[in-house]
Amino acid sequence: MTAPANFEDFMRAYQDMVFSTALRLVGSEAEAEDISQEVFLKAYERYDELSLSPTVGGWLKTVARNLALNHLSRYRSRWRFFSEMAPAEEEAGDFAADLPAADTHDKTVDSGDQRQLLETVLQKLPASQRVPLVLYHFEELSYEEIAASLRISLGKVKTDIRRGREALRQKLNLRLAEAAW
Amino acid sequence: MDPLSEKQLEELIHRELGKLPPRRAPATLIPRVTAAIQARARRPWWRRSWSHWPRQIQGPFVAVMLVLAGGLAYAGALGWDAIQLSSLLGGLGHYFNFLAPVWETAGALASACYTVGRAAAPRLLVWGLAAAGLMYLSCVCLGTVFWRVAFTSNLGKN
Repeated sequence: MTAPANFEDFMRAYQDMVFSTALRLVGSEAEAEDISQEVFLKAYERYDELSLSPTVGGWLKTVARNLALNHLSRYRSRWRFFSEMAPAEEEAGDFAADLPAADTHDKTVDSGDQRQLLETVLQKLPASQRVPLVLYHFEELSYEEIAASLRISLGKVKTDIRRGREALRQKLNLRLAEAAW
Repeated sequence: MDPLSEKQLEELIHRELGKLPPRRAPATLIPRVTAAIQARARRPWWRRSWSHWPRQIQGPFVAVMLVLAGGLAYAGALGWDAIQLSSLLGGLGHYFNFLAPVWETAGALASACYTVGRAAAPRLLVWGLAAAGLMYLSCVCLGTVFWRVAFTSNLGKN
């Protein structure tokens, strides 16, 4: 059972996608790398079947997402992750200090930097906002599916996503007119 | 700042997030996975899951386990016949005189169970084995069905 050369090509083709999925959910590069490793080990066990499947990308993404969610629910204290108690202002305040203020945001910054900034802001959102936001906008799950995946109420999913979007908008000073980065 | 309706904000955020390229995986990921695969390959066969055992060991292993289970059942049945429960309880009771009232009640209950069990032993054994076999088969069948539904539907969906 040694990794065949074509499995390395397979990993090379999908590693960024798998890593991104895990990273955006767990918010930590080290944890995302651990999860990605686990995803590829699972893929290796079923490589004969997967290498012939046209839906392998979706399978890898689903496994990465499920492992990341398992990881979050297992290793983070539940009250913090699915907190109903923490007020939005307090949560938003956790990361505000690390970021440039919205009015200092230079409109001439190139799109690469803006994307980097958006990625940073997203990663610094509290997990209770980031996870449903990522599931909705990147994984394209419905509110109901997110509520079922996270085992929280539909109302809380909608509230957390709305707060997350607001936080992104405030931090990035997003306006409709600026949308064409 | 322009006031944005919830729908506009959703569309704006969706558009902006959609522009984000995938994050580059660390260069250490592939070597780590490869090393983990090689480490797994180096594990002796008996430390892997049963389905990965060599074929020439799987068959004899099943046979040995069946013989062992049969032997244990047979020995159990023989032991059941050989035990003199009342003398055993009497011997033990000597050391626990202070628990005499509780012991007497427990002894009476145990004797009653023993009598009932002995009367029904052969039939009970057959039914017990049949029930265990059926439960085992249901676990295997249901597990297979769930596994196939979960993984095949994931593959099919994506």
